[in-house]
Amino acid sequence: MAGAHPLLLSSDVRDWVFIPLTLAIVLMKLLTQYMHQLFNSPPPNNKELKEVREMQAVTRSGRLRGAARFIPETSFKMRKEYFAGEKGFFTQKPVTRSPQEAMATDPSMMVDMMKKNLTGMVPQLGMGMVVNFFFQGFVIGKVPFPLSPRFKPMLQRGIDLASLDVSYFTSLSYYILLLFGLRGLFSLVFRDEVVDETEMMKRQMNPMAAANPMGVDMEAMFKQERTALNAMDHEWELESAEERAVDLLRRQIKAKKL
Amino acid sequence: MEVELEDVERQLRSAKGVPSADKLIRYLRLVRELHVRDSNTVARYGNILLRHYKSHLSEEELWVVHEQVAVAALDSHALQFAASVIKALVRRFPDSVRAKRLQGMYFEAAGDYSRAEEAYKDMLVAEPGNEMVHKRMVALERSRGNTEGAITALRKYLDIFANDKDAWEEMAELYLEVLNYRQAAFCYEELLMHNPANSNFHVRYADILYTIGGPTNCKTARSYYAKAIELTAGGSLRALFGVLACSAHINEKVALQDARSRAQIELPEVATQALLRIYKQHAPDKLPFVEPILAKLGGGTV
Repeated sequence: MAGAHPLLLSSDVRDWVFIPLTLAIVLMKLLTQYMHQLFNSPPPNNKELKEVREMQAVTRSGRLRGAARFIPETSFKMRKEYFAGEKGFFTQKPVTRSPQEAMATDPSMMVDMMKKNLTGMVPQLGMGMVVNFFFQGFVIGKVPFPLSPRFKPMLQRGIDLASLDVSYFTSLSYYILLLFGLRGLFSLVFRDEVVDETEMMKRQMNPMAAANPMGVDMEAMFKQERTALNAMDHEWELESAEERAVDLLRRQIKAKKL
Repeated sequence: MEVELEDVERQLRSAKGVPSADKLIRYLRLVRELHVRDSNTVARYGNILLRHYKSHLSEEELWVVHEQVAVAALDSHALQFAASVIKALVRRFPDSVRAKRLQGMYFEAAGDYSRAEEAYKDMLVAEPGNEMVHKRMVALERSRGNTEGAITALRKYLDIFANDKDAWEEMAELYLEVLNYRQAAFCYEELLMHNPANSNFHVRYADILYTIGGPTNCKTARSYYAKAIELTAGGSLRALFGVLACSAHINEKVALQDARSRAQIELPEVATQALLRIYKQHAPDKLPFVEPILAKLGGGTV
């Protein structure tokens, strides 16, 4: 293969395929970038104050369970009553809705997701079609190093020639490479997040998993905290503190450290 | 890093004329990272930096430095300079709550409390979950001298952000100011759970319990003093005295064979011994004052 005759590529291929294709992709990327920024402008800071409060209460009660041995029993019981008593914090219905509920009642989230996907997908699909239509079947370049035949499907998409050297690449493969490879370049120009195609792909594979990472089932958490608090026995760590202090002082005095 | 900060500061002070840009930038960055409060110096060097070397800073750092210098200037009451810096910030970020907060702080520093309050309230309407603005409201009431107002504002804050350790500490402070010891004790309980290894919290909590008084509270207080002794390896004089003071208030008769006897009889004894030793070693001239006190507290033989 290495001894095969080099292909002579017409300069028209460069002028009418290579340059327009590169230009089209860069422009399309720019367009997606700006569209993304436009749709994303309102930051997702719509967390309700009450939701924050509930989240914080869960954290606090978790700490209470962990560190209750450092406070006197009456103080612990007071807090337990506040959190898990008859009219306690965790007996009430939480304001925070579970993700499924939020999804069902609040269409804006779905719309948001759709928008994100659309801005990414529509131009990409369109471009794919255009490239397929106009620039199909061109060999537009050669990588300056030999490659094993396994690269054939990657570099020579759209051309099925068994005898063609693997180091030649076709327009379609070039398009795909640029599509994913330009991200690094764009992240140099745009300071904040660059539209990441791979990320977008992942989201499409599994839209539910990544849809709402913040969403928690508060009701279940409340119930869990409530049962955990109710099942807890208070044990005061300082019950024997005085004895320990006596021992310690004795030891310190004996060792002449005081 | 602290050493580096001192180093840079020394170099800046000894520099003749206008110090170099990277020294100034380095200094301000260190101050930011270490959370040092040296407002006069920061304001002075920040002024030089912003006047001469604006172009040396990257876009992001430039505005962070603006914010830092603005707060420092307000802190050292350089109102005019602060105003110019804040104006630049507001012009750059017209919608930012962070910039508007600085405006409110300017009003506060200028003594225009009602205007500051108005500004903060507007911000809270726009962004009710902004912790910084909530805290500013508390600070505002404090500087007005309105302790009750500060307590109300801080309670509202803590009801939502129940995990803010510093806020609990401030709350305890405020309750102590209005002599509301039970609530202050509650706050210190929260603090104890936040950081059970901090002996100061134990001592403060015991102080409060002792102040409330009553045999049960005194006993609990003694336990906490004892725990503080344990944590400081006997180094906390306040805790040692606290043990004695509490014991003096607990006139429970215990037999020597009783399990509680160690706390009731032995603890005051060893605490007295420890105190005497510490005073002998570190402040022998104070011994004549301490001995009668110890005798009065009844910590056994002196």
